[in-house]
Amino acid sequence: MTTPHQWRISESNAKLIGYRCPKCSWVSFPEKKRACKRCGSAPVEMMGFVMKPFGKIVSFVVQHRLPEGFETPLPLAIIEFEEGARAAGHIIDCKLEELHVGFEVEAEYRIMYEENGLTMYSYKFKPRRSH
Amino acid sequence: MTQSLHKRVTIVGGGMIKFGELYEKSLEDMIEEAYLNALSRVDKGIDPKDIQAAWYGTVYPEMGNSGLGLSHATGLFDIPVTRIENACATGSDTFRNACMAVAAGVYDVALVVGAEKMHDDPGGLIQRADLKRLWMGRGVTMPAFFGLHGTAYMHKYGVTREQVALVSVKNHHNGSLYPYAHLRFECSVEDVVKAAYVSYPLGLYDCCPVTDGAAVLIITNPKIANRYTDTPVYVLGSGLATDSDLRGGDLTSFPATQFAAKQAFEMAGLKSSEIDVAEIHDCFSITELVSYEDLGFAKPGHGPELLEEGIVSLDGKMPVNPSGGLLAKGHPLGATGVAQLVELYEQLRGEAGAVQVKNPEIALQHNIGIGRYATGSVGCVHILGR
Ligand SMILES: [Zn+2]
Repeated sequence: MTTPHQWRISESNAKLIGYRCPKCSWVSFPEKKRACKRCGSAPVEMMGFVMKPFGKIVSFVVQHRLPEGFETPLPLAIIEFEEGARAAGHIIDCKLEELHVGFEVEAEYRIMYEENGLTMYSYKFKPRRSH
Repeated sequence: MTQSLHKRVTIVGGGMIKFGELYEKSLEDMIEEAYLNALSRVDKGIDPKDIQAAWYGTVYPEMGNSGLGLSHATGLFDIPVTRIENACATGSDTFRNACMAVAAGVYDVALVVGAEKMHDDPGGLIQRADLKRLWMGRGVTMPAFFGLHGTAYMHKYGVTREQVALVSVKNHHNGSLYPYAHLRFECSVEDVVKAAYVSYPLGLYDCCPVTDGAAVLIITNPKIANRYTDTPVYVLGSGLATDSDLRGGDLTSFPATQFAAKQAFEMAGLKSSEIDVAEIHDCFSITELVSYEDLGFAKPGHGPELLEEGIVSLDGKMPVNPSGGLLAKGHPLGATGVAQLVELYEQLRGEAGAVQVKNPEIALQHNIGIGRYATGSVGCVHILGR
């Protein structure tokens, strides 16, 4: 059975849609907002747009201690998409030595975890090999 | 017309318990002990009936998240008890809220309690690694939140793990001398950088322990402080702000601290160069280093110099974390900010024993919180003076 939480995030998990603040150009992701987290303008009418799956690492850690259900060492990063939106995400298909601030990555749709018998999918980030 | 907190509140008593893995003590036991310590240490004594209102800071759920836990532990019923939660800055915000009520003239005498029973939660904070938050940090633990700032800071300024480790070395030295500290051992730079990674770039000794503890302050209107002591400590400034990593910035600072510090310094009419001693939030080594810069003690990227030149050592020009900080004393969330203030109250009155700093007049307290469901922080700063 789909839980309310699963239902609520189902669209934002599957699509890379950002919402730009008309006052300061900050991009809200993945939620459409009527109050801007960056400049505080409210109400604002944020326009949705499809983002490209490309961004770079603002910073990262390599997780060595996590609860059951995670494989370690797990690289985690804060990513800034080309359009300016920020997200936290797992880094995959990458040697730990390759990781660095500014590293270019590409979002890819992958299995995240199982919940109530449902497989939850969303994006992870792999090194950007092509331009 | 807004009114400042400046010199409108005095601290007249403070007490805490020895922090640690206190399996034999309940949350109520810990609060009771800290409360009795605080009462007994009021110079001229205090009758519990003088306390007109109380504020209770704790993060972990208990008693339906009400103020009743404080009443049960202290026997203070029939008066207002307000429970405050603001992540790891809970204790500081609890104090701040109590101060505002006293400064407003609503109460003359108020009690501030901060407490946390962390060892009753078998899963611990790591189980709250935000498992279902896909875009905002699935798998992000507390060490990771701060490790993200560590990686960015070290990258931008070319700072090494050895330089960051100097924070742990200093604070563990201080903690070895502080009777209330959870961890009382010394460690070397080599110990810190060779320890197992928790969340790269942070290893075990870059992280504070999991700790139980409680701390209590008694505050009054300055006009009646002399009923309780001839040497009260004044609140000179106070500030609090929030920020989120999602708003932008390069993660080499904590803007919430910068805004909280600006508020507190403006209220106090002081500059960072006028601080004699500070308790700075060091949940992780990197947090203290970055906070030197956010609080104006060093220019961006120059934090390590304060450690290398001994300025922040116990015998330095501006000792930071004489209590051993969170790294050695421990970080029982709701108790942390209150315990920092208890220690600075003792420092300003010359009662800090083995970690007493030479004749301090102005002290700064700084406490950061990380919201569980938001990639960001709460910063809280207080400035105290004799
Ligand atoms: Zn905006």
